[in-house]
Amino acid sequence: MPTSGRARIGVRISQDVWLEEVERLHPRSPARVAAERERRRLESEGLEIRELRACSAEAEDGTSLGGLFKVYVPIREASSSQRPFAFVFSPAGRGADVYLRLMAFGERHPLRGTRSVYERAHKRLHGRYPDR
Amino acid sequence: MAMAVTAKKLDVKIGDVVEIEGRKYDVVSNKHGGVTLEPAITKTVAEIHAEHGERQLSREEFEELFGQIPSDGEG
Repeated sequence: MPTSGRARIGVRISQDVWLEEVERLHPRSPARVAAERERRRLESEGLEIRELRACSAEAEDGTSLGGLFKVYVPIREASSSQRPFAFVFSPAGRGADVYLRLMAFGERHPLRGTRSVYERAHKRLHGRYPDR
Repeated sequence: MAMAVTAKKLDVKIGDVVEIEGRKYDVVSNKHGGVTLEPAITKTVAEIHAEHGERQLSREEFEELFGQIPSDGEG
């Protein structure tokens, strides 16, 4: 458990990132519907720190996302296999305030030919996809 | 019957960003030797934080808040 004793952390979402990550998807796609369902609560209530998972600095899929964090979507008490999407966040500070900023959204395990949320986050972090 | 199609030749390579009808796309590998278009990612993590005047957390802040969050190794 976190040593700070802090239970929740705020979330900030930039509209341009939301456009590139969520509104790229078809309006009725399961992924977009799932993301839009979570947005208001994310921005108003943030996340419980226990809901977060640390991204891997060296994952099997070739992505390197050290320092980033993720939450599986839908955000609820359920096994990860029932939550096919993920938001990826980067921690940030402004003055004394510390929060998470959305960096990527997408499918965790898409069909071949579509980038996973982790590959998208890798490009945000490093400026290129992991296979380039 | 064959249909006559005139293709527009694009002078682009993997890594370029193209704009079609006002939307930006990344030119990416299709992992089979060709290329495909994907909705573009136009800003890096560092650029997004900079736009909002945000700072990196100190090592102490990071460890205190996030140091014990587990990873599941997936990505």
